[in-house]
Amino acid sequence: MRSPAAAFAWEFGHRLRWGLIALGVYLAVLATVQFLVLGPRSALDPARTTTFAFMVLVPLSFAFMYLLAVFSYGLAGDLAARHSLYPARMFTLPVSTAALAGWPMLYGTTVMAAFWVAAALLGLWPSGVHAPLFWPALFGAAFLAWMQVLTWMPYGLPGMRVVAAVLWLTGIDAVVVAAIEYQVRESVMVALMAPQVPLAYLAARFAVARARRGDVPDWRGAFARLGRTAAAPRARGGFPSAARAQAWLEWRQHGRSLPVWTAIVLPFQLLLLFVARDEPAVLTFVTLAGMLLTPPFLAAFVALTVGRSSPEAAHSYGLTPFTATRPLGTAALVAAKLRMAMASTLAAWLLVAVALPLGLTLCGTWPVVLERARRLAGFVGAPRAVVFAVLCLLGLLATTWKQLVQGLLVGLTGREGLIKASVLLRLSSLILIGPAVHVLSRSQEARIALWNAAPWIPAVLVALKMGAAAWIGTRLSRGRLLGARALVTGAASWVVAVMALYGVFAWLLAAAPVAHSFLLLLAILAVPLARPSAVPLALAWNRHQGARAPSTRVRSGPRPLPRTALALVSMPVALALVLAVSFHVRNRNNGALVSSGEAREYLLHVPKSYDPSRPAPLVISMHGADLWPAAQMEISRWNTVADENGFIVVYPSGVGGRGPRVWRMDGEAPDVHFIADLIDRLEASYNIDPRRIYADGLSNGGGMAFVLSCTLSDRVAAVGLVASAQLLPWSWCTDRRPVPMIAFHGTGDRLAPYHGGTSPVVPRHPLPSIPDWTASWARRNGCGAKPDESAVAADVTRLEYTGCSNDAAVVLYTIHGGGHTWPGGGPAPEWLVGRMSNGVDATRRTWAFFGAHSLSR
Amino acid sequence: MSEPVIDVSDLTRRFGAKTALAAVNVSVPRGAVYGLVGANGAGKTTFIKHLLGLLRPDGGRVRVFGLDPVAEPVAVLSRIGYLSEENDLPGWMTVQELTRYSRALYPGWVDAYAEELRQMFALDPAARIKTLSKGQKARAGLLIALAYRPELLVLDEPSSGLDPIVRRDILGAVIRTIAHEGRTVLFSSHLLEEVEQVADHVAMISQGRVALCAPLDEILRSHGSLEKAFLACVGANAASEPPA
Repeated sequence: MRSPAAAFAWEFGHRLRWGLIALGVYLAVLATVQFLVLGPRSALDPARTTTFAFMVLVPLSFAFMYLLAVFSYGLAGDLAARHSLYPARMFTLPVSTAALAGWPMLYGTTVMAAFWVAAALLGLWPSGVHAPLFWPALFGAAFLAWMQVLTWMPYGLPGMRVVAAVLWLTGIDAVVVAAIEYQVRESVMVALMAPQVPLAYLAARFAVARARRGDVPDWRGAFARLGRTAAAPRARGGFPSAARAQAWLEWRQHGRSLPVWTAIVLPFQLLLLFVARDEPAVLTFVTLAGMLLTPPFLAAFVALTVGRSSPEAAHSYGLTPFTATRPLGTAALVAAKLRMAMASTLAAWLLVAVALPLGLTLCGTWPVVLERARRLAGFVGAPRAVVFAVLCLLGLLATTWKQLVQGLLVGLTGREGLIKASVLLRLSSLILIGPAVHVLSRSQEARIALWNAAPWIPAVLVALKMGAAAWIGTRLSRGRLLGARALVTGAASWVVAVMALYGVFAWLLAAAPVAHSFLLLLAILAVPLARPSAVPLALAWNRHQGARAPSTRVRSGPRPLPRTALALVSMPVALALVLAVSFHVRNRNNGALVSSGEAREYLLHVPKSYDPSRPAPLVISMHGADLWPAAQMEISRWNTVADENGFIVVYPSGVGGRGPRVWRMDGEAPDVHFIADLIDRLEASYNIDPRRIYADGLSNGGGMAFVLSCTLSDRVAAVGLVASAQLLPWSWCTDRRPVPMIAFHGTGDRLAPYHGGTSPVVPRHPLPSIPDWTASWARRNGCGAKPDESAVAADVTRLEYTGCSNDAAVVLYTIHGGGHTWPGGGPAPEWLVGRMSNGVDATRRTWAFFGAHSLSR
Repeated sequence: MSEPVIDVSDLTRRFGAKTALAAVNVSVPRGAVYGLVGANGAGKTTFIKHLLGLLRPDGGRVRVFGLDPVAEPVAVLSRIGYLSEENDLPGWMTVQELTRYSRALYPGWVDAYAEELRQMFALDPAARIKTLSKGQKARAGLLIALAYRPELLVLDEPSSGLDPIVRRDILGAVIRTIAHEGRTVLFSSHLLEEVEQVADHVAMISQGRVALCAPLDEILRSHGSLEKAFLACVGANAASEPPA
């Protein structure tokens, strides 16, 4: 190394080596994914915002901020301090001030520009985002250059750097955003951006020169004249406790980092909000989402610095003797950091809470947001919408705190390799989320595998979490890092939080066909336990370095984890187990057969009044998509009607283990064979009247009922359709035998729209209009063209096609305002499926209809 | 005889392949001013870190006030006043904030004594630690190490960076004061004249081993001066080391 330029280059390269390696790996992965895995024709689609965000935008944002921080030496000290953040050790080098300012700026701007070019070529252009190459590279370079000026400049007041940075950089950003909005030509943009770096260099030279000669202005005296004395210390009382003193120290050392970074980032997002105000609403919501994700995103970035014992020890991962020799237990030291993390989180979110409404007000985008909120409230009900919104906000707040605490766990170990590996792992997982989502969205096999594994994934994660928590708790107890009382209190608090969250989930998803054990497992996973508990172990490992020797064993021998604490944390898990077993028992089937080489199941109900000497009718009632026989039984309440009227009812099960349980209607139609085999099995076991076999179904089951009317019309006497979703076109049905049909459908059905159209559950299959479908059926049955219409209840209208061949009537009950529900049936989650009507009992009406129709032999 | 304040037996510590301390035995009686001398890198600071619980021994036993400093850090550290050789006071704190923070951690803190020390050391309460000179930072560290009248004062190279006048006046006065009140002092140094001035017991560490451990009077009688004793016990080993 023979020149200052080489020395600077070596130092930056050496300091940045891990970051550059990570960046290089990311760009290589991105290139591989874009060009080899996805291919030029199916690159990452910006319209798929989640995938694009995680794969491209988030990592690039991380990298941008990392480069900004490193080349400006912004990580070296307190951003709010008055003195320059340029490393003072370099002022004594035999290097001119011009070189001190120039080389870091040159390398930084070059790397930033190269980073943009690589990001554009590998991330944006293949995705169809044809961003220009030159002026954004210049913009990035200028942004970095001015950031360097602002961090290297000494200031007269504490915090002035932050204010200056926000104002100046916002100003630059505003110019650029305005230029984009008014579609200024690239040559003009280049002309605007190009002089920025030289200007910034001149300013940086001035700043470094000032810092080098120790010329730090002090304007605090001016404010002293307003009554506040900067020279004399303000009289303050003492801290009430050692814990408060330590919490104060942690806040002063680290607590301001997250709010300061949030304060720097928020104005740029407010600008975006301003630009987006005239654009489609989706851009406004993307910006709002970005604002809400800012604190947890930045917390991941700030997290590892929180574990340091001194903000001035830039590369110190261990505890300084000052901190390690304070007469505070490891648990107390950790508690102070956890409290600081909470205070830091709240301060950052306070800024968001102020900035977000202010931004919406200034941009006039409140109506857009309120309209969407009203739609959500209309969809799920106002109380649920409010609770859901509050839960989301609390979740974001908790995530922010969790990010800071997770960083503590690794940072407090003091092991540099572990810390850097953790950063690399975190970035890698962030990069992998995008392709994972992309693969899932393209591959049905992957989606089915994920669906089948879905009940087990939280169970496995909970087992791992509880195992880790038990091990950690034992180590904490044996090492006397936490007393029995603290362990029990912590365990009790965790249980209370889990049960409260489970209660909220259960209320939000009331009556939804979801196993409560699943909700409880999610609550167990959501509330932190293992990682915050491990933080004292990490700190102790750092504070008392070295192998455990016999002399360090406690005199009374190792203590087991207090039984009370163990019992407490086991309670939710035990409850989840009980709920899971109970769910399984309540919803199990009681019959099985093999059909088309597959094991199939069904739930059979034979009334007590069944007499083997008398042929009994059979009703086959098919569940909706992703439901199951016992759920169909609860919804339809066929058992009650069967007991009253002495017929057998069977609830067949769609095939499981292949994703959501749906009925397979096309191709080989194995489910049609299954129904036929089921009828054969029941006819062999019971005295079934072959002339009075009927089929009905809910939603997808209703669609299957239509299929049976076209394929088993010689065995099924009549069919019933409730909120049916017809995925096959009418033209598919070639069987022209008239089959009596009764249907029930709500006009407020969002999942199978009454007047047809796209359903959110089957977006690729437009569904037919129910009145038109009914009319087609009536034509098939040779009914009269004009149906008879009558009012059955205040919200129910009956349409009957008469004069049909073989008396195969066609009847449609329209429930005005009704949702995707079984009228008069069991409870349903109205917030999800819409209003339930009790103006008509679909089951009894269907039975009455079935009873009037039988197969003629 | 009362229990020794510091009782170290067969203390061994390794850092990778290097043995920093090898079967070190030291017993510091109550009220003693114990000097720990040795060349740079001999193991003095490593030894002191074991007393503070910052390092776990690979072998042997460490007891301070009869307690294991790793297992019971709060009980031990609340009775120790420690001045580190590293300049690690939080630079962003003012002197007043430093005393306010430290006061909350030590139940025995005496405000009047702290103020007396502050005036004796001529420390401006509004001055930030990072603006203080090296000597003033050492004084600030001494202030918070002394203000709660600890039973054991541990000074790691206390005179490092201080000018001779400050060294002589401040440290000598402090150590004599503490010794007279029956408190114990352990200080490490490679400045032999300083040790000879104030210590009454001396341990010489060389290459991680205790080369000599005896009352100062005995050492002076047998070797004439501490420097000669040092050269005899430690210098011979140092001379036999391969050049760096």
